[in-house]
Amino acid sequence: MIGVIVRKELRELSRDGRLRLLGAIVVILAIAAFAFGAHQTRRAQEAREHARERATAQWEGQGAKNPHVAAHYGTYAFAPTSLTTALDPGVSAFLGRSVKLEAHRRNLATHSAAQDAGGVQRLGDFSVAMVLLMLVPLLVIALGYGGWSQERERGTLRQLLSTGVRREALLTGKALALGIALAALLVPAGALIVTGLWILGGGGADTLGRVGLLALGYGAYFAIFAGLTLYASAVARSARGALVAMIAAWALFCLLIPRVGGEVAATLEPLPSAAELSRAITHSLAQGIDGTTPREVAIEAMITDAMAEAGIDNAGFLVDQGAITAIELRAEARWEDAAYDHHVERLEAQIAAQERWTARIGALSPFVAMRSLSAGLCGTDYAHHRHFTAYTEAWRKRLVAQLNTAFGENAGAEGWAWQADPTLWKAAPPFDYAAPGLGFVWQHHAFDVFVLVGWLALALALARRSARRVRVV
Amino acid sequence: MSAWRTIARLEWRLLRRDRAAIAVIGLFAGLLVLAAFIGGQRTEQVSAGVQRALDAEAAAHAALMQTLAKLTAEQAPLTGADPRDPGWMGREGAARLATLPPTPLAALAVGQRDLQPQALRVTTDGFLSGERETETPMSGPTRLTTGPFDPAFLFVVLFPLVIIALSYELLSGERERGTLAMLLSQPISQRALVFGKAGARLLLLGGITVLLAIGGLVLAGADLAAGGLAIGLYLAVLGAWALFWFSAAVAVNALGRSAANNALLLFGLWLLIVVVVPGLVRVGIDALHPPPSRVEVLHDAREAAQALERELAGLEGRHDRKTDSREHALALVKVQRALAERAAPALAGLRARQAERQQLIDRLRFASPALVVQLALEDLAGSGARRHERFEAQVDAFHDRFRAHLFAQVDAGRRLDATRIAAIPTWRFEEEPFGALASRVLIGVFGLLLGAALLLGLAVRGLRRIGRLAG
Repeated sequence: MIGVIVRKELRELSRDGRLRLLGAIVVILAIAAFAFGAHQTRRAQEAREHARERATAQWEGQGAKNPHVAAHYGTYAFAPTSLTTALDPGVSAFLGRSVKLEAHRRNLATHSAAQDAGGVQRLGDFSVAMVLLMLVPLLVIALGYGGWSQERERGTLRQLLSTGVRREALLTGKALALGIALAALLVPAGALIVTGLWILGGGGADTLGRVGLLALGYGAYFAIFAGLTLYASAVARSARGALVAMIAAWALFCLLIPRVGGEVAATLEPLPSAAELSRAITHSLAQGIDGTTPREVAIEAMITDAMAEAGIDNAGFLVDQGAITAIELRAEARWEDAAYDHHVERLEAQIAAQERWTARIGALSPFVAMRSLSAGLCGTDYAHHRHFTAYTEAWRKRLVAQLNTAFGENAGAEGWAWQADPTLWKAAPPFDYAAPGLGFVWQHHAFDVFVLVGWLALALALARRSARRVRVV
Repeated sequence: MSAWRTIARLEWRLLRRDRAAIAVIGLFAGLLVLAAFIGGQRTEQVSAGVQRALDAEAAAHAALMQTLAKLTAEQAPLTGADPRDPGWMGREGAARLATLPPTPLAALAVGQRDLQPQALRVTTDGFLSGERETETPMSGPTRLTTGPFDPAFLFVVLFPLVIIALSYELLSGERERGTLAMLLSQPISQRALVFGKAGARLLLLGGITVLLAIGGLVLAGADLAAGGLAIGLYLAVLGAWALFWFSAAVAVNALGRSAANNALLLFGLWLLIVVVVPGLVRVGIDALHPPPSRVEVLHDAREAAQALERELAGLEGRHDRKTDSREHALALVKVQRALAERAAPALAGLRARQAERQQLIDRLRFASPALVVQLALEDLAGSGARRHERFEAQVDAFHDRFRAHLFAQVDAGRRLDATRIAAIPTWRFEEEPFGALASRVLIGVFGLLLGAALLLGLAVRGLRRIGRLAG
């Protein structure tokens, strides 16, 4: 029975020239967006590789130098671009891509793609994710708004029900037909895109797992819109009413709630301005995090402790000048790191809290939850960025510590005049950052998954309920 | 003429009783109140921040002058941080904060304000640290990606939907209810009917547009007196934008299809103009003129100057060196000057490529009227890419002047006194001449009106087929 209904629905949908055109446009846009995304991702990866090589060459080629002078010179770390950025750039365009690593300060990641792009980035969004998040739901609405309402307007619903067909069967048939029509459009496009990713070099199990989950997530997302559309189609007085109501719902979900949510989140969890942050850090550097410990006193105490520990204070005139300088430098670094870590980590926690608020408000809109989950699965969300910057900072501390130790162990009486051999630069700790796995995504996006499942349950329940009570005339 | 008026009166009465129409307008007005309020608050934050920074600068200057008076009176020898030392003054003491002040209409559009620095610290150092001085609160990345909820968003994205909702069944509604045939049986012409109805709606829409536009400004706490001509331009942009969509609605109605069809068609047009084409324009610009990478520019400069860096780093990283000796000062100036010279080509290249992209935007914005409106509103709010680039270019020039001035003092081995300190260049942002801004905006308005005229032409052609209308 259901097979008959599905066949009839599919025939009707496929005969509608407007729907064929609309479907073709969406698929073409998705593929074009992927081509552009793949191109951009490749370019970003190449740019990163290039920049990294240059930074390494600069670091290793700095010649004989005092290690602490080298620490001042510093180097750069560059955020990786995951392959799945080609699908969903997420928020990555607005996150800094390079971090300057140097002695005495913890720098924030800067030079986001959006800053480089000047006024262009905000002109419009164009990615596979944007097509899937915004345009495909409209396609679902266009395919489904007539499901009940047009049958009713044409009077065929009464005939149909007089044959004794159950309403649930009708609903299942209509929903299945909607799903099949959509799958017929999106599965080939998806296959093409996955092939493209594979050619780009993403055959890894991790990437495949991410893409698989992404497909599952988007499937649920489209099903939410399908359920809501069939519901609207059943309860609206006319086909026109169903269409207008669903377009309004779409605008609410995809345009209004995300933006209003952003403002609300910014009000609930305001971030400091860059100037405020730098003033706070400057203050803590001079007066301590508690605001009452002068820098000189604290550092002096640390130096005294460290000298006592190393047994240097008893050595009298046999003091190794290099060792003392290294102790001083270590004490300074500890003091400065404490101040920077305090403020930067607080800022990062604030940003994460703002992101969480955005997600919570997003419970009102499946779009927000899916967008966040999609960026998480593609490794282009804030959590991934924070994971990277945490690694970078830990590496910076190791590098500075290593250079200070080299100073202490080798400078001897030469002290500041001592210059390390350039091989020391090559012996820097290896920078081998690895992006986190899927468990990390679950940790940060479980809420989004719950929201989507909740919406799915709601949409399906509404579609079922309204099918049972659909007005016939 | 009187027939037109009768029709318009009838239409007005109909609209007044149309609950859906009132709800749509009410919802939009409510959102606008919210956006204007938020925009006003954020602008105030920025103004207050800039003022605070300037006050701090003034206080630091006053303290410096006191120290100077004391040191001069005592004829004390030079110390590490001494206002008489032009080297230290350039590096720290006389550091200038170059700020981009918000304009009277700033609350209208956030534009580039949450992305680009609006305050740069100018010293004799080679690079400007743009990240640390901006007083605009930072935004989480999701908020940055989504874009702000500002009046510009409402006017560019949602306002067309309001107009569509108010006009998609201008004629088709009458036909579907069967009242069109009845109306046309009266002794009035088809044209009088259409234009009377359309005219009434247009007047209403125009009134609402002006009301909302001005209301938004007032709520945002914009300085209406200082806004002056900019407010006129703002009204012109919104008026042309409203006219464009109204013309589109009339043209679609003239096709003589059903109301549902009209709604779908108009919404499709909206999707194309507001969502799809702007995205494609961005893709086009990025593909034709990839954005210059500041990281690469940084490395260009770093590499070009590596040998010098070595010399400089040798000066800077050594905690044991005395930094107040004259040799040290001269060496530092020499290195910094050479660094600046070598970094200049890379920086100039960056600016040239930014300018190329900006020119492309200026041309490609006409691909979508929504872009025309968005960019015009940002221009008027003083938060457009152009003003920010202008700011950075002026800061670059000022940086050069500042550096040259202080380096010259170091070269000459002078000590600074009150007169010489007063002669150190100070920052002032030169706004783009209003004529240039106005002509850019007006060209956009002209483009919108041209689009509206084209659509109306289509509508008139469609309306000639009278029979189908009543059908």
